[in-house]
Amino acid sequence: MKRLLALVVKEFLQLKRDKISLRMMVMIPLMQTFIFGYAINYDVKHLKTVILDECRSFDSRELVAKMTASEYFDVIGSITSLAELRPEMDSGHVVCGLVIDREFGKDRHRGTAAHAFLVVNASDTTTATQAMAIASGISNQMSIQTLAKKAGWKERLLPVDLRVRPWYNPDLRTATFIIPGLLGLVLTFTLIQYTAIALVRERERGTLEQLQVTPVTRFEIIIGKILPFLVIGLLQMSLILGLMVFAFDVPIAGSVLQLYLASVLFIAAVLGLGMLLSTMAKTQMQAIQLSFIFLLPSVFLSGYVFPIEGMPLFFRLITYLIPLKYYLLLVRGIVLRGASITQLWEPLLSLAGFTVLIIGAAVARFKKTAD
Amino acid sequence: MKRPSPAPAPLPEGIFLRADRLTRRFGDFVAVNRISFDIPRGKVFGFLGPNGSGKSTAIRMLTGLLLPSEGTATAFGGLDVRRDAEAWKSRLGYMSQKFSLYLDLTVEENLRFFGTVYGLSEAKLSDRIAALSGRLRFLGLLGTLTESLSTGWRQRVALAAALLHQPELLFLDEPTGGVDPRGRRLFWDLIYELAADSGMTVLVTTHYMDEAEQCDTLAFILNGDLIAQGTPHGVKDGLRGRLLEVPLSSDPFTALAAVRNAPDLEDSYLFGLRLRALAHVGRTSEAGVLLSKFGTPVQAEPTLEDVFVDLARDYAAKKVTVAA
Repeated sequence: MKRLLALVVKEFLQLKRDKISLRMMVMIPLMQTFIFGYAINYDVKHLKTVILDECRSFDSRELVAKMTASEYFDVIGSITSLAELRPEMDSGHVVCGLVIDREFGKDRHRGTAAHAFLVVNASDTTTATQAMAIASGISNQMSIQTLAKKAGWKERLLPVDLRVRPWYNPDLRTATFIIPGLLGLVLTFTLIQYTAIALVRERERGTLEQLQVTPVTRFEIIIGKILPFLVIGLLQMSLILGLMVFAFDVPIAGSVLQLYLASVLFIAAVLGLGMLLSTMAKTQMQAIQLSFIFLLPSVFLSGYVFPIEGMPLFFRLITYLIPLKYYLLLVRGIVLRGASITQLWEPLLSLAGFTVLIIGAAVARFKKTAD
Repeated sequence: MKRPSPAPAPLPEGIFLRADRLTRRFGDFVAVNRISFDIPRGKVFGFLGPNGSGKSTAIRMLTGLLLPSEGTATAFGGLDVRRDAEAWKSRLGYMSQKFSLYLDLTVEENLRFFGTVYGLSEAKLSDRIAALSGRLRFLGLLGTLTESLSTGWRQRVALAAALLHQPELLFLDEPTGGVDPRGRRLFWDLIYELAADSGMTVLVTTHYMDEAEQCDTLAFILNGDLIAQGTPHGVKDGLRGRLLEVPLSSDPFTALAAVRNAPDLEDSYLFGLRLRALAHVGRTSEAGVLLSKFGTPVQAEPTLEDVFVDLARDYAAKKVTVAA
């Protein structure tokens, strides 16, 4: 116990002297949360749109006005022929093109279908899906108005009224969905490298050998490296949490204490993973490269960007090796839905098991001999 | 599962460490080849050999840092280096060739850290730090960042770190590399003092012949083979042939060139303004005649270097014979 404490104290003394690293430990998570928190937005508004209005009527102007009013489309100009649309789309200057048929107005009042079409740059599916949904909403709305007028419908209610109630994120804000996950992602990125280089650096400097000839145990060396960074990780997590609540307005619906409990497990898992990599690498450079093997899957296979349910079986199996997967379930549950950890026992136990196994593997791999 | 190795046979009285056919291979390369030796209790034992001869590998096996491929070592009254690795490690001190304290800690922080790791109590640790820093004269540097110390001071601090827990056995791997002569002198005085005071046994590697002269016992290592061992005196007595010396009045290089390939001489070299020549066994008088054209040859006391060079030549010749 005294030996473990000595190892931890030593680590903090070294950190204290490394002013640049200390500053980075605070600044990097804050900056990443700020940048990604503001930058990532699935709710794509103000799509640059050009209009080809062959109708030039009250009705065609009504359609354009409704599209503009939705705030999803910004009309930046009009064109006079379809041929002009192609280069504008190709160059990326324009994302949408609204083409209104010559007979749009007449057809609408005559009772036949009034035609218009919206060209969307679907090379970006997020934007395209969004534009399509909004456009079809506007089309439905105008159709209903037209029909109601024809039928002389006076009621203020629609015959069928299916309302969607978005629980846990009523305004459908992207930030609410993104930031709690970002917490886990930023922690993964910063923490894994701290421990990944920890042992290798001591090996490169020759201090590991000096440690290996002492009676210190393998367990003490590994835990002595993890504990200081667990403290750092919790501080970083608190900073990000502060940003989440105060800057991004995402309140913590559940228990803060339970959130910290889940975070301790998660941070220990990431640090343990870094230690395991550190026992494999010969140089700091290799350790950093090894840690990248885990970083991209953490982004794409953890459920942070794409839902795990949509993945093929093989990749769904891989996700079980990614601690962020469990943490995301816990964080989103606690922060957004106010779930308690007893309701979240599955990811909690999985994460706890993962943490124990990975640290055990690091201890088992680390040898007190130099070969 | 490996079966636990049987308890090693007790060492004879007065022997502190016994290496028994210790071997280390890295792939096909044999770094240390079946070396056996005894280190008497409380003595300073020197490993002598050129760079890359296997000295460091041998010392690293004896500290428990490298597992021997074959053979074993016994010390501390019956501990086995493999079987009792942890107990073994807690009773030895090790100063590696490369400086290996934390550069970003102060001298005192380093000493406190290693002392605690060795299980010293707070009070004991303070006593030891005070005693060692006084004796090694770095009391004023305790608060200095280790990074800003010169090589000589670093080496003293590293020695203190290795001695904190009062080890019974101290390993020093080329401890005086890069240290000035005065620092080396001071260092060796201290090693002898410690060996004498506390009965500590010391194993030191070096390639400085003057340092080797000061050891109680020596072992020569070449290409992983132990080629000779004994006291410095005993080793010198084992020199085959006689070493002759003649003062030169003419141009030394002409004189050297004249005897260079003489069949009666094993070796010849300049020693200041004198010519030294090692006669073949039984050819001392012929060699004397050869040298008498420069002056009156006298028999000279061989240095360890003479012995080592001769042993290395003999070793190389045998290798060639074996290969052919």
